[in-house]
Amino acid sequence: MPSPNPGSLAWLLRHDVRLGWRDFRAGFGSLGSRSLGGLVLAVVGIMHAAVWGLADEVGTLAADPATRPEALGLALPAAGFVLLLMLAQTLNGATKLLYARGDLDLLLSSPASPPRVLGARAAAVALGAFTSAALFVLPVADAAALAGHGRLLALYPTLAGGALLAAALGLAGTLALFRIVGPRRARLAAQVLATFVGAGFVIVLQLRRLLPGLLPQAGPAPGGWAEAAMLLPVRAGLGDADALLLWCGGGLAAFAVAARLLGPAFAGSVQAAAGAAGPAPRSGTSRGRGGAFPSGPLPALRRKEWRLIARDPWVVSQVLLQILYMTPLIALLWSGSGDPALALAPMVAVVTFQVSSSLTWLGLSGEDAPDLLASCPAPAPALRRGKVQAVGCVTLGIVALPLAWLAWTSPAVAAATSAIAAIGLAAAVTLQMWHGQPGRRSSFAARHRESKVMALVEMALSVLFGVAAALAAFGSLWTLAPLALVGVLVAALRPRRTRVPA
Amino acid sequence: MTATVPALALRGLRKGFGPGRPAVDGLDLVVPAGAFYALLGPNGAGKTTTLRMVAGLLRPDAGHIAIHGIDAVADSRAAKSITAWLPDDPLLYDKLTPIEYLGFVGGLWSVPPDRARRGAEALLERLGLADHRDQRCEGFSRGMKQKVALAGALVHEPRLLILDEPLTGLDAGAARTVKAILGECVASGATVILTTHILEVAERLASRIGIIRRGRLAAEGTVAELQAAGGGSLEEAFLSLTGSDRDGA
Repeated sequence: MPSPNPGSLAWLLRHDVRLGWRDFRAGFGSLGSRSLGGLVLAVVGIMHAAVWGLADEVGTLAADPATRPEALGLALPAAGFVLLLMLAQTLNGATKLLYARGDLDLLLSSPASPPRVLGARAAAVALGAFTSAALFVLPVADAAALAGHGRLLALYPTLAGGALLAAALGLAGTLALFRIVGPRRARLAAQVLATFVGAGFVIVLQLRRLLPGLLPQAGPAPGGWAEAAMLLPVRAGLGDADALLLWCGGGLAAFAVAARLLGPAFAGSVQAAAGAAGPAPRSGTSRGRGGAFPSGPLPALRRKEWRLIARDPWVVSQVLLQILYMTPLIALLWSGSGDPALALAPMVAVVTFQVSSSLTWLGLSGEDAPDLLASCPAPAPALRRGKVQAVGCVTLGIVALPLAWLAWTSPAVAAATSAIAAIGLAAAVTLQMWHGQPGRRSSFAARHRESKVMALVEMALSVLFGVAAALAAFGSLWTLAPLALVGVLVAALRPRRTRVPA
Repeated sequence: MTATVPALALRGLRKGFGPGRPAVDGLDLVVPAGAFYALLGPNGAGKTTTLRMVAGLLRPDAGHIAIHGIDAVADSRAAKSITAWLPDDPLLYDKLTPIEYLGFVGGLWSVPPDRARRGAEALLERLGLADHRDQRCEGFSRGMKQKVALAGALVHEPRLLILDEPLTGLDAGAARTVKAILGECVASGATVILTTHILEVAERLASRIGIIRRGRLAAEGTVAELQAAGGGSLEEAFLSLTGSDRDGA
């Protein structure tokens, strides 16, 4: 294959794709290219197998949506979900583009055209969003096509059009935030917005279940142009040629306009973001807040950890969002069982594990002044203990209210949940001590970039703790089964040589 | 008796990072108490590795480190309690203010809060940071961060102060202030050991100079002694003793 001309859009895009692929590979440690390729193929195969049973039904349902209104009832939320997820991803991608500039200084100081550089990078953001969504969406298209419903292959270009549109909106949204709240706050605002956009759809769906009178129910769309606009990606995905052309053309046009018109503004913002590290703003002052640090390494360390957590809006927002993400599960369990204890117990277990995992990373691996602590007159194990105590107190503070409520209504469930939560905290600390990747506190959001395996393990453990607590709330002895699996999983991850972060 | 105990005594110190020649290879060094000692050497000579071992950040593969007579490996807690370490790129907590950072460092070294606060305020005033004492460090320039970190190293009044390239990133005025403060530390009885690539700094400030080459002490003495050994200026002595003149550096 001929190599694209240096400096061309294709050449720059290839550069970005190569960097993205190497970043992805780095998350799997020493796994070789062939093994990683095999793993990716296996995951793709599993995704296809998972939807195979539904392929014919989906294809039949989609064959004539005009006579099958339930098809739209299913496809519309699915399309909304996928598009919002892609928008969340492009908002994140555009924020990284602005702040984690990487080689942008080099590229923008080269003779390459800045709009072309930023166009390539924006295309890489769109490609990232497309790839993430493709893993879940395209197996449906493939399986349906194999089952004789080839029209659903239209999902490929529909998804591409959606990714381009999401990239355009992501760029515009991030730039708008940059202008409205300024370079210092835009990063946090965009990341929080991205998380809310990603979670918002699920939360709205659950609120509709819980509060049927408050929010409009799914059903016929508002009518007129709004209905046509909402149904456009659905019709495109189901193979309507006109809709497909309009959707993909619209996405491409939006992307081209955004890259062309916003490119210069983006280049300026990149430099402004770099220059945002000037003197601290007045809002960054903290006269007399929090009191003096006590004498003694451990009390001083605990207070330092609490103060840093409380002052980091990004960490606070992430912790709150972890709780927010639990809302759908709580709502589902509550409405399904009618027993609030059955909803609260898994929530406490999962939140404890997730929050303590995040905060333990901050404490043990995200230490900003490791040399200072290593040179202070306190043994390293004592310092680690102080940090774990600080994290434990914060986590306990977060789950104290639901735990107290459980203790009031069903003490046995509260006791079992507390025990599971304590195991969760211990597992989080253990994994962090074994596998925590040291990094700057500011890289909290990207702490899993170095190890995708650990991200998956944390996800699996969250599920296991949630299941264990739910079974405990039922009073079932089977609660020991997921806990045993937790033990096996953690033991399997024991390193040959224990590595303790400084 | 106490007066004869050196501030730092290294015997046969050795540290390697994987196969190949160790970074520090059997280093013997004695720094008298109350000295202003400059450790010089070309890049990769083992200066920072040596100081990180003295500060208790790295464990030596072999050898002995004594800080004011305390075995720094066997009783690291006691040794650390009288030592301060300032790395060349000090990292602070962005969300703490300088006064809070110094309070935290005071807490780590078990300095009573009132005393830590008084010392912190005096140091910030001296370093020209009094106006920034309640601003979080996140927007500070490198030079300002360097000054806050230096204040942190001094707030618990260490007897041995170890500094790795302490003047990096400082403007001329700040560098002058820092040099004056370090001179005062020595005058008050503390020992200062620093590394620097600026030979003029060593020449003007240091009472004794050690030159390290390939993890070993190549030469040691006063400026005059080294100049005599090198046959001219300190620069010529440094270049001939480290072999840098043969590299065309």
